[in-house]
Amino acid sequence: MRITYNMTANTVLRNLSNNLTRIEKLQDQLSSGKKVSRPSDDPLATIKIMEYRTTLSANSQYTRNTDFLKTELEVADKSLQDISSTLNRVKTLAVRGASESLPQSSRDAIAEELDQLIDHLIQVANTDVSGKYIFGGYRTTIPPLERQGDVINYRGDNNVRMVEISKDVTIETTPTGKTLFVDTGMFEHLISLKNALLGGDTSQINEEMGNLDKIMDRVNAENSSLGARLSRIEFNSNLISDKNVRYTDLLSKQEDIEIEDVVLKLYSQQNIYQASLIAAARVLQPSLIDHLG
Amino acid sequence: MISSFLGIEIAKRALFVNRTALDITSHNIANANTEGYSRQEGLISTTLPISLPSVGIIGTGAELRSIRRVRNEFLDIQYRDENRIKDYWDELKSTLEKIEYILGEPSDSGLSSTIDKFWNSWQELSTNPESMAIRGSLKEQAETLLSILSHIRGGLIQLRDQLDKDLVIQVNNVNDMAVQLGALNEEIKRSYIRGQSPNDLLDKRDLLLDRLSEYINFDVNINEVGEAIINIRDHTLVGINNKVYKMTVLDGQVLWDDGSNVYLKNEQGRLSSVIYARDNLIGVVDDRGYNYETGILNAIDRLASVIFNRVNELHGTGYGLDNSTGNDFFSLIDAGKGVIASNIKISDVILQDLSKIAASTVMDSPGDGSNALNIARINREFLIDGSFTIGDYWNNQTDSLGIISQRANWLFENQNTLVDAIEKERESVSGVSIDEEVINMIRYQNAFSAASRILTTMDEMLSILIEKTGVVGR
Repeated sequence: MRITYNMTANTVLRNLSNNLTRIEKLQDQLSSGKKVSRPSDDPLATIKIMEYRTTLSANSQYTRNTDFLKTELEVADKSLQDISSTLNRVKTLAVRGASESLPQSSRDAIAEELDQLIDHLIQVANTDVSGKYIFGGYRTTIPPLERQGDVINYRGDNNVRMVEISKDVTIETTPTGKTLFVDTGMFEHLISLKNALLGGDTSQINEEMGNLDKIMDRVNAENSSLGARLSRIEFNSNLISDKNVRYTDLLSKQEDIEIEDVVLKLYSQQNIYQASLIAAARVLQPSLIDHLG
Repeated sequence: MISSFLGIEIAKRALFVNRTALDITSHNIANANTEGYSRQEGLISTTLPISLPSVGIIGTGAELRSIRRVRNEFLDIQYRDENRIKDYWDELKSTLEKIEYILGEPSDSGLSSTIDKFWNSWQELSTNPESMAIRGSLKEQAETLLSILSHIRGGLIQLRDQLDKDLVIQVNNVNDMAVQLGALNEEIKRSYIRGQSPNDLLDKRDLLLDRLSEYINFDVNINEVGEAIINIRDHTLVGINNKVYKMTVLDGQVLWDDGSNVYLKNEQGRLSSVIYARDNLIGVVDDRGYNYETGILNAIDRLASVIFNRVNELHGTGYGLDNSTGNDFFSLIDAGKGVIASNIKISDVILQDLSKIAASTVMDSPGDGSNALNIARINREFLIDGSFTIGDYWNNQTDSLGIISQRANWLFENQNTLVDAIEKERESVSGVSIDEEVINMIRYQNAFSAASRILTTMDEMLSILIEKTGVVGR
């Protein structure tokens, strides 16, 4: 083959430019830390990256949902414990008040304390988590219980709010005031107990003590189901964080460069470039003219 | 009997031939870096000999028969065929690169991630439907989504318009080249008729044909008077006697002057590439009267309309904090236009009062986020072609473009290597080698010097005859 100067020059130029392109690509990867900067860099990796990102994004929302739910359920849990212990205190008072030998003035004092406990229970039932009244079912913007004299009204509804804690898995939040206070007749019985104390009606007091036990059973049952939900949430959030770790790792494998690898490639590419420059200098210079007198 | 002056004549011819050959060498060296130049060489041959009776035939020196350019026509045809394909992929590759840039994937701020965040905002609202702050951030997230949709669509439309402009520029280039080719044909014809080979003009014409091959597929036939007749399919671009048929662009289509279509489908070359990218990859939409089912523009509109319709459908069934119902979440900016990605806004009712965002499925239920949850769960519904979720659909569209783009890159690289190889072969035949020219220079110089010496010798011999003869005894 006949070789001309231009052929050599073009070849040298093309090779230099190819080498520089490779160096540029490696430098780009090093400075961005990413292997894939547009789909055509690696379509297979691209679709995985996009899917992993979507999963991670949904997971971060589920984590937020779970955290939120946990806060609410912990408050609800405390509230139910509070209600339970308050009812225990009521029971103790009722036992004392049921004693035939107790003077009526003491019963009046017990009734007075009971009234305050009723107020306390209402206060607990009206607990809110940053402005959200948790015992009101869907009606979370108003305090669910309202006392007018001896009548306590429930203003919430019977809908249990649900939160999605992972894909297609929803979980109940706080039980409604309807199940806790209305269906059990908690306040009617407490008022009735108070009236019995004031009226010295010990048989009525005894009867209400029986009712009180049933109410406490119900409250405790709700509390334990709430505890079960809390542990389920805990389990779920572990699952989510495991999944996060796994997907972050997968994403990184598809998306991130291995720095040592790229640096090494860059060095070798730079060497090749240096070599091609030296070769160019040697090949391009000489011509017959240099050697003619 | 031969003339005593024959020797001088031969020496004169030698001087002339070698000096002219040196001129050719000089011309070659001068054009060593001229694009499209083919090296030229003089064809030197012996002149008619003289027959001497009883002696034999005696030579009468040399003459320059012709100056020819060294070129392989077959390589030209090969070059143009492959170059056309190379430039097709080159053009397509750079358009795809721009589309990928507009789509901006994969990234944390791309459409895919923004759609995810949009659904997340509904999830967030479903857990805290009473919160005005969360309603506010949902509104912001929805606006981000709309602005990205509209930004991508705008970018694609801009690119499409740019391709339209490119097409016009390219067609103008083709027309210009056709005109120049016609003019060159005329000049070449004049030389041909005189029986000469206009090497430099032929080089110029070949270079123009090389350039033309970037744009379009054509056939060249050189007729007996040296005119290059250029046909595109069965339509003539450059005919005999400098007749040039031009192309125009009308409504984005390339037409001949007589109104018929220029055949460009699957023909490679830049023109085909631009049209393919515009009509099939981006996809011209209805504002121009065509509506292609393929193309990324169609995809983004489809995506936008699915989000628009489904969110509105679910939103209309729910209740806001103020018990309002039947409200649309999204509305059209310009009701006259359809549901396209750049024509969507958050409806005025919602913008004026965020409490109207219908998070609940039941009235009087500020704490009910179940409708918001339903909307958040749109992300897992197979709403497109019955088999794609919104997210999958977009990922797939992006990825198919990535695959096409990757292929275009590969094919361009391969084709580039091939064209380089042919170019090298062509350069090997036609390129000027300085070393070679310098050697020729020395050869001709030596021959010239020798011829001068012969002339001097002849001169001396004759002067002996003229001055010394017949003076014996003087």
